[in-house]
Amino acid sequence: MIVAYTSFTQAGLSHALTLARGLKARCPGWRLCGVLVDGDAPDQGWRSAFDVVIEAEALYGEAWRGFVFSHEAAEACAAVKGRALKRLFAEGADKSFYLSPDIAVFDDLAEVETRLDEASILLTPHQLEPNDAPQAFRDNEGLALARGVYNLGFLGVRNDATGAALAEWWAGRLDAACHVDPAQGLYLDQRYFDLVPALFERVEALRDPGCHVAAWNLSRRRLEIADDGRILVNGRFPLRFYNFADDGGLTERYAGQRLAPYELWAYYRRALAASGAPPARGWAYGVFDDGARVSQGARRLYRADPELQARFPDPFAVGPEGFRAHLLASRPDLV
Amino acid sequence: MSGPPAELRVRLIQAAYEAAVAEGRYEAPQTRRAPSRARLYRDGLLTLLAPHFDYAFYAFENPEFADSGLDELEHYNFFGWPKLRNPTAWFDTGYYLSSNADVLASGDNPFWHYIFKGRAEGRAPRRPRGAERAVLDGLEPPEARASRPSADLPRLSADAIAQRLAPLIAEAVGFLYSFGAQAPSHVGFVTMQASPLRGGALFKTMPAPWSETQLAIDGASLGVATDADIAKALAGLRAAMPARRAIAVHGLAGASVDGLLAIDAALEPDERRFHLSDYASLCANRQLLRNDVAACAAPPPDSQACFVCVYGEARRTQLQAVEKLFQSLPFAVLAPSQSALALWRRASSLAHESALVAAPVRLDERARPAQSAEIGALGAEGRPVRVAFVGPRTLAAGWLTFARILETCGELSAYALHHFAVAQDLRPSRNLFNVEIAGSPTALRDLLVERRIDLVVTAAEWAEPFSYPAVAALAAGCDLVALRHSGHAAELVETLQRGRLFADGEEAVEFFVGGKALAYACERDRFPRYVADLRLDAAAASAERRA
Repeated sequence: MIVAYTSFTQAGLSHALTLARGLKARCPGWRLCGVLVDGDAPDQGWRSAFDVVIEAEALYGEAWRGFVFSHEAAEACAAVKGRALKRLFAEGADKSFYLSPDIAVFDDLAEVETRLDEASILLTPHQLEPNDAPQAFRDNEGLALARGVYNLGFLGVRNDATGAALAEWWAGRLDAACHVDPAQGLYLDQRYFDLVPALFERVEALRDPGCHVAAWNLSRRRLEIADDGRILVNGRFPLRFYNFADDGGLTERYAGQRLAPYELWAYYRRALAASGAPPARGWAYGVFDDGARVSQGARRLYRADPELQARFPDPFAVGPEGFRAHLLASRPDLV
Repeated sequence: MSGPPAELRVRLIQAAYEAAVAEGRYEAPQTRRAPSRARLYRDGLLTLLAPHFDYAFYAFENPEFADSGLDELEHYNFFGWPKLRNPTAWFDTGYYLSSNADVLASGDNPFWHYIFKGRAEGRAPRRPRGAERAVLDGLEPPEARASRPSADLPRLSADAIAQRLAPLIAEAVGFLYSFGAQAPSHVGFVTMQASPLRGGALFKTMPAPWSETQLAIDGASLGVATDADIAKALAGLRAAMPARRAIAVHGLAGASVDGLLAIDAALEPDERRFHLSDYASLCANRQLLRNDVAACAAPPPDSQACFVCVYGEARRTQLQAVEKLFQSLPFAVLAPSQSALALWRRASSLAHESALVAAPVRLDERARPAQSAEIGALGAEGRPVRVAFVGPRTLAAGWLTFARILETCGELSAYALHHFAVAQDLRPSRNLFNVEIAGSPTALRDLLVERRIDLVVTAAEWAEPFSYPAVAALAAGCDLVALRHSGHAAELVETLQRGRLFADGEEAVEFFVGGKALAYACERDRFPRYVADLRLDAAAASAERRA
């Protein structure tokens, strides 16, 4: 059984649905799993886009509310990936692929899938070719140096001893720390994977330029739409999947006069609008139970202090004994 | 004046051009045109900026400047740029400020910053591919686009139609139902011209009683009727109909397949013509412009290109309707050019009875030498290479390529750039000569001759089935600059060897910037030029004028 999974909040639902529909069309035999890192939405119709939806809470049990309180939304979506992988393996997945909800699939991924017959772990580097120009180096290699060699919007893992060991190690690391914290050398779950080729066997860096095209590698990936209707990368590699993560202007800088990247973006905006996702609400874990916003400072204070975690196992709960009351008394600047 | 025969002449020109380029005999033109009037300002910075500013463009776009007591550049400097007005067609004040935070913070005139600092630093004067991206940003699925009745016309019942037709057909030798174009009058024929009431991009599947069609008879407007009522009227007149009956389809956009089939069944024509005026029989985008911005050559409907195209889904539905039409009616397919027919045959497998090329306008082979009073080397001061673009300022017509030529070469004394168009498409612009056109291809030819145009840029972004500007230009003795995917214009360049073809607009622009256009025009100028007559095929012409 081949399983593709993704993790998202309600705000990212339109992206996740677009990914799921692309996978369903291009990889019809795969089982699709969505990991919802949010409260439930009143409209449940979207669930049918997935074969199974796992509530992230179910992966953590009683520890969940304390755990998720320690994370911003993007951090939480990355943090659950390791435990979700362990769950999928336990349920019988032979091969598992994580794809971030910002990704859209444009071609059959069978060739990618067969790479896991040889490899146990399949990674996509941010860059496959060096950049020469100083600006391009800063933008691209610079990004990889700061955030990790591999982009964890994609990860393929085979359910063998190596894959299981990776899942165990990864889930442990993410339980401990999955934050954006440059001082600690952390960027979500990504920088851990700089270590993976050294720590584990049979790790393959996927060198197909048609895989994981994104703003951060457009400087070395020339996208075009050929007369025969194929979308090609560097003149001959079919575009397999594209990451539409917010690009901070990199697409404009590196698409140059080529229209294809802009056509893909126009397609993606239309797909999001037509996804049928219910209107986005605020993140359920962005507020205390009384609706007051949880500040970043409050999260950081809580996650850094095991004593607070032990004293307030459900930090969202309100009342005279709650964490919020504690903050109001001791650190009103964080409320 | 006489010279070598036409075929030899064009081969000699091409060979001379290629030798001139290979030997590097022509360099990129550098000499800039002397400004028509030097403007001096108290503010020295404005004096320096004046040669770069497009006064004509600014005055046209910002007519309120006239009340300010300032001239155009002063108005831009004090009032225009803070309101994000543009100083030229190629500089986007709003984009420059939003993409250069340091300029915004400085409070400097952004155009001044670009000319004297930003350009050397490699900053972009406008959003890259801004025109195409503006189209992409505003794309809506074709089925979502509103379609409105084109006029408030009287409603016609089947009886009313029959009453109007009956006396006419009694005298006629034939009857033609012509859908989608102003059909010509055949001698002795009554022609009923039909066009969809609500327009729209799609070939529809609605039933005949819901499909509404505007009718005219021999050019006189009649009113609006449903296809079901038109069919009922024609069926009622069957016994009185002349023996020769024809149906001609010139376009599918806005039509209903069931409506057409009902009318055909009622008329029982002995001739059915399908004119390839556009490519609606291949795609819901009848120009085969993927996402309205890029030529697509009608790839397989399940291709990645169609997946990312706003017309992709509508195309699959439309092709089912087209398939039904062609399976039901054995059409004689008439293409205005070989390239249009070749594209159609390659991209479709629709059943048809016959297919042939019928050009609406042909060049008469008996060309006569053009009068020439000009002496001196072409490209030198006072005798520039005259370059023209003919048609509207649209992406499909190829305006973006010409606009880039204007931007990059407008200042060079080697070239004089002209825009030939109907009045409403002309805009004043620095370094551009506007020429108003009206009427026939022959009138256009005469204007091109009168203005002594050397090269006409026919860089259509779509595979245009027929290019009137290209044919008129060739008749005027001009040569063409076209793109390989420009359709008919590209076919003419290839078959007649009268001009140059390029892979894309950027290559065509480089032809001018690098001086090869100058080389081409000069080598060509060594030979006499000929003016040809144009022969119109009225039936085919009326079909194509619509496209």
